[in-house]
Amino acid sequence: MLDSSTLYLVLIMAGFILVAVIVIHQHNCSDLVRRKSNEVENAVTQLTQKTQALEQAIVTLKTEIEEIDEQTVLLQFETPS
Amino acid sequence: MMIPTVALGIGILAFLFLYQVISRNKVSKMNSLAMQKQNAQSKYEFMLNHKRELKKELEEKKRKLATLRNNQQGIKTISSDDLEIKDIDDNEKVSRYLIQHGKITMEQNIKVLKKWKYCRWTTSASASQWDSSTSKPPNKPSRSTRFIQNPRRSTRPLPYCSNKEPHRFLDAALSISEF
Repeated sequence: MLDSSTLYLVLIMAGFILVAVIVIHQHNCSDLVRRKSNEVENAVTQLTQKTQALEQAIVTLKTEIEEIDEQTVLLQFETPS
Repeated sequence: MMIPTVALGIGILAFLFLYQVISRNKVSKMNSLAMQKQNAQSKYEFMLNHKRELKKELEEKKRKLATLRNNQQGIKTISSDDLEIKDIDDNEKVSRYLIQHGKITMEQNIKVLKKWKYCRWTTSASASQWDSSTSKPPNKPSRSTRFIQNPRRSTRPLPYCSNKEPHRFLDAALSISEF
């Protein structure tokens, strides 16, 4: 059987190993999250730009549709029934 | 002996707890990031669909307006469907279908169309010769017919160009594509 000092030494070494495992795991996880967040940020920025361009296009299209509606209504009034 | 055992147990429990906490934290962050991306993507797709619908609506309204204007001016617009004009023959439809499905290339299509026209021309020539002679088939086939019937001169056999069987453009196109 081990004497007490050897046992304490083994326990302390085990504690160090467990702490090292925790630190490595934390580092891996944070690295993964950082990469993913960068990727998502880029994608979201691109999509936001595209969405803004689409919004502008939609506004233009709506204006054109309104103009055409007005012209159609005018023509319908002018056309003899 | 009691104290080291308890310390070991507490250490292992703390390790497991911390490990779980870190893993859960990572999973929740990844999920929230994925949700963020999904939201942006869905918003973009919604806007895209909305734009498409608006474009379609605009085109329809433009068409209606043009019809109204033409009606006012006394011109009635009419589409090709109304006139029932069929400017595409069956061969063109078949060749379009084959090109669309990647069975033949454009060059092969042009090649088979040329051969097809040639075959039609030769068969019509031989048929007219047959009609002109009352009882016998023509003794001397024309130059073009000889070219098809003589296996020495043509390096590649043309099964779809025989005079006995009806022409089938689809078979011809597929046999060309296999070469």
